[in-house]
Amino acid sequence: MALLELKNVSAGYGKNIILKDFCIDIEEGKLVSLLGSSGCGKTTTLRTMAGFIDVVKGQFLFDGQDYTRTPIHKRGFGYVFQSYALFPHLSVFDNVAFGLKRRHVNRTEIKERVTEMLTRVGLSGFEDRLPADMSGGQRQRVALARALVLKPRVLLMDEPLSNLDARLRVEMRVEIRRLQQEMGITAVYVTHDQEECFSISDQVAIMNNGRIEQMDTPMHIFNYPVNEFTARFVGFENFVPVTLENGRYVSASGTVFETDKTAPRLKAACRPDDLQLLPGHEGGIMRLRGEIVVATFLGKQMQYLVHTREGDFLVNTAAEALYAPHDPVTVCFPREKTIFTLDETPVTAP
Amino acid sequence: MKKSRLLLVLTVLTYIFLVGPMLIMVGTSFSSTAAVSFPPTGFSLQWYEKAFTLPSFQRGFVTSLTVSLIGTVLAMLLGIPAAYAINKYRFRGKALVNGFFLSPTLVPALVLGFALLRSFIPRIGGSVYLGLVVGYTLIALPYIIRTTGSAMSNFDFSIEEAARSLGTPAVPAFFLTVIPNIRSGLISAFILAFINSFNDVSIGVFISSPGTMTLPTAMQSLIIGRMDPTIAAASVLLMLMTILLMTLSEKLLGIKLRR
Amino acid sequence: MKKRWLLTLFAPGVVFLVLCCAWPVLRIVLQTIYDDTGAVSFAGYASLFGKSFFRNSLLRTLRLSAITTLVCAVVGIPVSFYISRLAEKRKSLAISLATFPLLTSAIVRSICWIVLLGKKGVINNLLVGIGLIDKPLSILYTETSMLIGYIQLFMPLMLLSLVGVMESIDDELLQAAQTLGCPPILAFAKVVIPLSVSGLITGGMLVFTGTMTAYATPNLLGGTKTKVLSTLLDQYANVNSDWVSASMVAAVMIFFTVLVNVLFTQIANRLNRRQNG
Repeated sequence: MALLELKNVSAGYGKNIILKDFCIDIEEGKLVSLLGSSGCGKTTTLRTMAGFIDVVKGQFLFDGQDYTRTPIHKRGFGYVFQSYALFPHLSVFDNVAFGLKRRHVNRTEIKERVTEMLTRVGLSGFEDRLPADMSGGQRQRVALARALVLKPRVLLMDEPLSNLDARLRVEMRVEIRRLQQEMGITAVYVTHDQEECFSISDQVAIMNNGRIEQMDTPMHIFNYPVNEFTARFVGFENFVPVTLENGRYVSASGTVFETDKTAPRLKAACRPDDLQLLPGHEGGIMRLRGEIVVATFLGKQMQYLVHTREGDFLVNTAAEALYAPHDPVTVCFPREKTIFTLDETPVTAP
Repeated sequence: MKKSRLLLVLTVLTYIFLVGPMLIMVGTSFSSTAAVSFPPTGFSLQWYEKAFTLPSFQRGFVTSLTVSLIGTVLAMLLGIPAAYAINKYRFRGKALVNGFFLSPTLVPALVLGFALLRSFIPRIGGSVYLGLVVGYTLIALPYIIRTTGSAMSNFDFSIEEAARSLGTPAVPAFFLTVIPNIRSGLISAFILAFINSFNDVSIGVFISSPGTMTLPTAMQSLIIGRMDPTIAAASVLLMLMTILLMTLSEKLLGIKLRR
Repeated sequence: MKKRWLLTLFAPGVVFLVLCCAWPVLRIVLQTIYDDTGAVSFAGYASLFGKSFFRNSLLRTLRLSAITTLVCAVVGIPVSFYISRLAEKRKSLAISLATFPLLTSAIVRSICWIVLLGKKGVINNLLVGIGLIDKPLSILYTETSMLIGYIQLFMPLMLLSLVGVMESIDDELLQAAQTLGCPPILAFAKVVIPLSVSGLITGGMLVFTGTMTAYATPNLLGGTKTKVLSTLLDQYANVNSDWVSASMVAAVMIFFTVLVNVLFTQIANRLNRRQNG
């Protein structure tokens, strides 16, 4: 059974409803990421779970109990803010001890637990510092320690790494994953960084326009996006619309594509890394004739922009300058690397 | 939700307490009878007519207006160079100088008036008018130092140095770079210092003569005799002046008057 | 070169301040501690403090200042918080509405209360009119009416000082306190109040010294039995022509103004030091 469950929830800010009839299940012990661009509703989802946003319609269940109207302070969820929201007037120790004092834990135990938690996040010796005197990464650790010292069953994190530089981000995400697994906490993690999210999550929910487009393990999403939105999100950049004609899928220029799918209109998609280029014009199944437009040196690879009758495609090849602009080439879609998604664009009159 | 409604109620009540009495006074000023009553009985402008024609009010208005204006201008002439030096240069005893310029705030205005009456006016030939000018200059000076000082602390003095490096002498460079950039700070400091002086009651308590009296002092001596709606009408006119200055500076100059 | 330039900039102001402020004020103060023979003597103060009339006025001044400051703080904290959380347009209106009374003469604002609280004032007329009381209440010319006047006079200073600091307190800090188990009111007490102490001190200092030295309000709303230092100074000088006593009262007023300034600044400094480690 899911530990956290939003059932047909509508929520937002005043009259601006962002989530409509929204559903999500989060299983115990998992780290689930909500991934999407800004305004997709990922933070709203998180804030709804924390209780910062009033639910207009629907239910929020925690461990089977109705938590829809439970006040924030009675939920007992840990929350890590994007801005960290450390109390500027309190020392690191007092920041971390803040929640324990509320729970009437006795003083020696507070000291023990805070010290242990600070050691765990690598901040022992920083007890008397004020947040203003610490670096971004250290503040991040204090924020984590402050939430985790209460041993919450649920940890909610809102883009916790977005204010850190690239190296620290990688370091901290490993740290977060380690702590989450060690302590067996169920975590919901909001981010717009795909790599970050895939690297630490058990499950990823890709969100768009207040809906979940796809929720699955990172690997599944990466290899089998279910629709064009998720496909584009995980790096599929080349799309060819195909229609079913006489039992075969054919592109606008007449090239045949092979798939087991059966919908009337599909889109074949392939990542730039997976497309292949052949010199000259060769016909055949899943091959398009084109011409090099631009060649760009990317360091490890060459990237070609290829113009075809089906549109322009990006192809990454080994770092050898094999083609020059205006060279005729053939773009090949390898069968095992090509996915087919439903073509949801409205049909236009020819 | 419930809590914020409680806060809303408290806030509204506070504002009623702050502004409500003034609104009621506006009502009573239109009364057609001499008794102070609200809601007003009848409607007439006779009290306004009286407030305008009362000689002590007329003279008080002119005195207050000129004395406040001269005092504020003097305070700016004395204060701006000092604020400039304090904010631009580093020198020994800076905190001391700054403290000295702000020291009149440690003397209550009433006491300042008293001291001027006892120790200053006799030395300048007993001119009450000059005494008032000096008093208002003293009240405005720390204020000007503080407000223009905070405007200058946000000014990048390398702009002024750039003008100097282009061959502009010191004084023109000041007027061409510093003044335009702290213009809105200067204007709001001027208006606020003027309003403060114009409204001030305390200096006039001791520095007044039957012929030279600020408007608040004239109003006060009238109340001691009797309370009739003339005072209310005069008060309303004073409030109108404040509102006028607040809206004019906001609409025309884009400056919000804040203390 | 720089020295001469600095001197040019400061000289006019310094000369003016010395001649027109420092010297007259010092002379008044010094006169009170020299007797006729020119020796230092505090006999004058001894006799002044020996008068219960004076002692009562001094205590009344301090008491009323303290109560006014307290009321302004207790009401000001929640109200300022509410204002600081308003949307930009409404907040701006609320601030203007608080600024307006500040820019209105103290005399005008005291007159409002005469109109309201007098024996034939609006409130008494109303209460008698609806038959709630048969004789008008004597609120005017008491400490109560003075307090009402003071609070109305100085509340805006507290509000503006507090709104200024509260605006910069992030909502997320309150939410953080709540996720750590504090109900909203406790979160407010543990986060907002400690973070607005600097505004509270600035506001408190302005209100306290303002009340202590205000003249129009106690003069118009107080009576002969509710003298405070400022009205006492007026009486000694303008009514009794007792210049010696008047000078001593003036000196006492300066003393307490400076004292309160120093005390509040000390508290602010100590808190700053603690907060900055």
